[in-house]
Amino acid sequence: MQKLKVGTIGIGKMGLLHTGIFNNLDGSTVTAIAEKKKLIALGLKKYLTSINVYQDFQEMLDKEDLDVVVITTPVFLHKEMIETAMKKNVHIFVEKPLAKNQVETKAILQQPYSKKSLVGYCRRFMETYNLAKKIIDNALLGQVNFFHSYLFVSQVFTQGQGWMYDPRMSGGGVLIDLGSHAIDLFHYLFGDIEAVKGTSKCIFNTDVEDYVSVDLNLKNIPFGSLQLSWSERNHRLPECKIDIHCDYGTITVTEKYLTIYSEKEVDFLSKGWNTYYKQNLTKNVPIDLGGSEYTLEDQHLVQCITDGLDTRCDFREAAKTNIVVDTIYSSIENGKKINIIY
Amino acid sequence: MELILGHNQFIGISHISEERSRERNQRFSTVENIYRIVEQAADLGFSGMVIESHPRMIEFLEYYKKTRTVDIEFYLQLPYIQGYVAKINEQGFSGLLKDIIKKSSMKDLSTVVLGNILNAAKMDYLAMATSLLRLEASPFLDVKIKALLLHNVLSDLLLSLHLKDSFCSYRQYVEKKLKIKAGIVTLNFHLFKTCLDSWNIPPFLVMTPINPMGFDMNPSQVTVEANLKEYNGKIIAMNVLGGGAFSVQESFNYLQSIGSVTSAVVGASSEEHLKEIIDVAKKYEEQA
Repeated sequence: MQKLKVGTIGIGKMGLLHTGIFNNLDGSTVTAIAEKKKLIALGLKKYLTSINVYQDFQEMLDKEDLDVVVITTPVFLHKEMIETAMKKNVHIFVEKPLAKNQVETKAILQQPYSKKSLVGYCRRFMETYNLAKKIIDNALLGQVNFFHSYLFVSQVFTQGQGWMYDPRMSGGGVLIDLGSHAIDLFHYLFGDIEAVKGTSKCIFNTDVEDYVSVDLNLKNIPFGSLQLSWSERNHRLPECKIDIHCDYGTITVTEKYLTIYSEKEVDFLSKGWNTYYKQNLTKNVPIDLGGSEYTLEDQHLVQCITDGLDTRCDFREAAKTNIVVDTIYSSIENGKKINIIY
Repeated sequence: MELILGHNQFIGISHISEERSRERNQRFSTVENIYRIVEQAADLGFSGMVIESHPRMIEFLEYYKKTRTVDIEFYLQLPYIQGYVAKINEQGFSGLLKDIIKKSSMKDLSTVVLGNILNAAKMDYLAMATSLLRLEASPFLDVKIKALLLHNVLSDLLLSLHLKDSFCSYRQYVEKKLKIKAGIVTLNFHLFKTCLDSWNIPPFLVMTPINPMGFDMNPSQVTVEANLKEYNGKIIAMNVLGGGAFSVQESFNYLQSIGSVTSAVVGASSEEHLKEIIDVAKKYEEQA
């Protein structure tokens, strides 16, 4: 079977990572790259001789016969690039978040488009969270009554430099950047969110928030909470820890492990404490460049295209996260709890 | 079996949990505590140690040079990718460059800058990139470096893009200019071996995950096992204990079953754990 031809737009760290992965999957190969920065484009052209390199993404889309476009540029460029790629009728992978705000995501969703899309919320491809989802979906511990969670990383301890710290380009601070991962995970694990109330604080940055606290009401769960910060000391890697309290036990889940306390023996769970590490759960992948979840994500898109299946997080699903993020920003601004309108 | 002490625990990395990462980070925040474990490891029979240019490991290195009650050979892992990524996230590429320049000695900096004028004119980015390794390696050049290990984040990316020339440039620079054996760390041993074979490049010293659960043995444990048996270069096993997810006994049992592995990197944070590892390793050596 012929391999899917992939073109990447934007060669930063995520662009390199996805290019490397798609270039080595059985079902895909990278045939083109678009990178705006001249020096990087020249370097790529010199060394990647089997890949056509462009500085203008539009030129790449016009000249190349691509099956899949991978967009790994800063978020303020997503909307224009997605819409252009949609018109070319190609499958699209775009890094999270889908766009800067819900105005942009609505415009994207209004475009006529019948190809596959996947937004890079990579925690949907981590086995610890997937095992938690299995326990919740099958109600092995009964119903979820509430959850509390945090997502922290040690990243910002001075005024940040660049587009990420300018809300006109990034859409906001830690909430849209890091927090969108947590909000997406809540959609994945628990379903729709009904209302939110947020508070925030700027410590190191003047224009974007460094800390956010959110209370949530969900359709299926009375309440949950989320603490967010990219300025939390001693968190070398992003850690999204969720404590989920159910009728007959609790689940604590992070990127690295899952601990379940069960009051009874049920299905694969023993009575008492059950602990699973990523090392025991993670499947082997064709290639690992900085985390198996990225490979599983890209492999999933290729498989969905090949087999005509729906992806785990298409534009419509990812747009819900932008809606929740925007509503939290509104709540922070006016100090009130606000209902979510998807 | 050559036992090499891993360094992740000293810089607060745990593959088990972030809670453990923070506990290790706190415990080894003083270099004396790192040195004590290294000294115990050397006394018990560990012959080498992995090190990198993380600020804490540089501090440890200075302490080691001053104290030096034991002799240990270092495997120097470069570049310090996590530090670079963190700097780029906060301050962008220009912030990273400023940081590298600030930390480099005038002598090394001028050597690298002068050496790269011609490379820049020829747009030889590979030569420029490899010569930057000199800046990072510079604090380590007066201790025994057994090999330089190219970090898996970089080596695997280069493999994924099938950049044969980068591996040739890297080996040439490290072995000819720095006079150190060039090694590679990879999580993709099958791809690594396939590339070297097809490029007709002699085997590198390689450090790669080998453990009973097959964790990070990509694309599959069975494939990697077959590749390991056919590989002619020196193989150092890593992720042997899965950060603590697998027992010492079952891990060494498995290592022994892979005949071609002669070295293993194992992390330990206490004398008790070091002794457990040594006892099991010795038992297997006696059986062999």
